[in-house]
Amino acid sequence: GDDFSLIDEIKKNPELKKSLHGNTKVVMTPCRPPPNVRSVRRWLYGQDVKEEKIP
Amino acid sequence: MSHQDFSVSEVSADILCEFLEVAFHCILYVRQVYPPGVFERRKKYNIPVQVSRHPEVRSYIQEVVKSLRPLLQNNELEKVVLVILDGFERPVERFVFEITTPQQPNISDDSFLLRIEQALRSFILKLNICEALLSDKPKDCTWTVQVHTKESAVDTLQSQPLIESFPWVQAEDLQTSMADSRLVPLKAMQTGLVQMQLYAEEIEDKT
Repeated sequence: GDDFSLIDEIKKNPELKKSLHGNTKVVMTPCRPPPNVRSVRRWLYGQDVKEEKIP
Repeated sequence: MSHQDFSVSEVSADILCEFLEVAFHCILYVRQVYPPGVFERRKKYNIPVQVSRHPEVRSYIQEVVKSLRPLLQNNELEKVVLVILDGFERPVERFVFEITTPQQPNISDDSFLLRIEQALRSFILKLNICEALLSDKPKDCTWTVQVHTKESAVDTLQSQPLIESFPWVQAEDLQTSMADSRLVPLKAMQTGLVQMQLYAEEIEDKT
């Protein structure tokens, strides 16, 4: 009908997407990076002060 | 899918998630990505393991592993890689976990859980001594996790409730390719429930 949208159909049906685009390999990664080393070092210093390991 | 199959895939996903969490902490400790003081000794698989006590590092690893669970359960995950990057965000080392779940899991023997635990213990022990097998890494490094999967499985990864707070994107080419690398096989296991191979890859010149 007039409301048919191929994009919507592809979104709804992963099998259709697979047959149209193939099923290639992808490498995914978290968008958010892990805590950086500098901030972790700062945290450790604060912990050491709190635990009186550092005067 | 029968009820039994469903349970088996849940069990293997749980076992692998728990293992990957321990293994990630172990790599970050052994390769000194974070200072040793950030880690504390715990017991897992009946051996001492180092676990980060930094709350954000812990929760970050938990979020990563939680995201992987549906992929593991659906057997849609080909490799999980912990990548150590230098100051220019170039990979210098990679720890690659190749995971396969057999189509017909064989858990007829009651001792299979014990055998899996023994195998996973060997993986952690091997990771603990991998420092001797690898060359020194640059001082200031960071890390990331990469998941090798099929395009069709990306929907599984992106349709989870936690995706809004912890989204995944396609990795940059710069962080996925490593020229002139050396491969160091670490451990492999083949059980009726899961097959896994672990190896490290490092570039020849890390400076």
